[in-house]
Amino acid sequence: MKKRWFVLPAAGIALATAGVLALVAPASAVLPGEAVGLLDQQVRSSDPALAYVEQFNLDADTVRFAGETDDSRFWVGLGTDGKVCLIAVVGKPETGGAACAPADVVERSGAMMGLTPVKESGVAEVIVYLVPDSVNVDDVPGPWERVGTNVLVADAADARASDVVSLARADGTSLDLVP
Amino acid sequence: MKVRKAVARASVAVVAAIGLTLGLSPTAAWAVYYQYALNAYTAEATPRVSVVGTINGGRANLATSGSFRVYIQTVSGGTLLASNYTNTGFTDVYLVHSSYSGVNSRCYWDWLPGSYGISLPLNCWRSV
Repeated sequence: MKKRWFVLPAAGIALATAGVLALVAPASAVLPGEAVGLLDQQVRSSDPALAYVEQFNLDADTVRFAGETDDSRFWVGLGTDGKVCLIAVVGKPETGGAACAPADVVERSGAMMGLTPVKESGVAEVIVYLVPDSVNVDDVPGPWERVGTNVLVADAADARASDVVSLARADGTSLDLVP
Repeated sequence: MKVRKAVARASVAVVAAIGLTLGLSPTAAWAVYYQYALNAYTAEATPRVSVVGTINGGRANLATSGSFRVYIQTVSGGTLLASNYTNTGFTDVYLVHSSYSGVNSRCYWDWLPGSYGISLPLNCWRSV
């Protein structure tokens, strides 16, 4: 009979703990590393560092270099709020942009941004997509260029003039690149 | 003279110690954001504009989900200097560039398929 005295308080504590966990846990049902495996990889010492960690509210320990083109560099990382962020730095002088979304949104539709750098940077508007590991990017059609495992980039004017590209997943669904 | 030098050295050491304690470093790039739209119900394609000032970027989001495009831009007298947008609602979009003085930050949203018809809560910041 005495043991019953402990049942209600214990249940109350368990419920309260669950409630607190529900409040502090990220809303996304997908873990960032499940959507973009690069986030779970080790930082390579040869990777260039991102200068705008503070500006983009990123958790510095999570930032990973994702690839580069002649005039642009790309990273992925987690925001201080746990969102998955795509980061691009283009041109000289540099213009940087980031777009951050919950991991389940990235898994479903990717994260994209349309970055128009300052004119003197010598770079035209670019569309950048962060795509999850689940889509097939082996044969991405033009004007899209694959940069690393998860980043696709295109000249904005070319991307808008082209048909929407659908990237297939193994489960039969697809992800549309919508500039 | 020796005392002065010692005091100067000590001062430098104290400042450095305080800086290290606070996590400061001379090369640290700080993001100071000033919010100029706070859950501001805003009609589609209607820019919210910051005061004129020295600006090196900004940040914007919509406090709702959906397939909306959210823009953060730096403009000079209506001329676009730099811009970034994302097309997934409930996401954050950031922009950073060299500092410009006498410019505005502006933000807005639109809906790619057409006219959305109602106002949405928009958050926008400029950074200096």
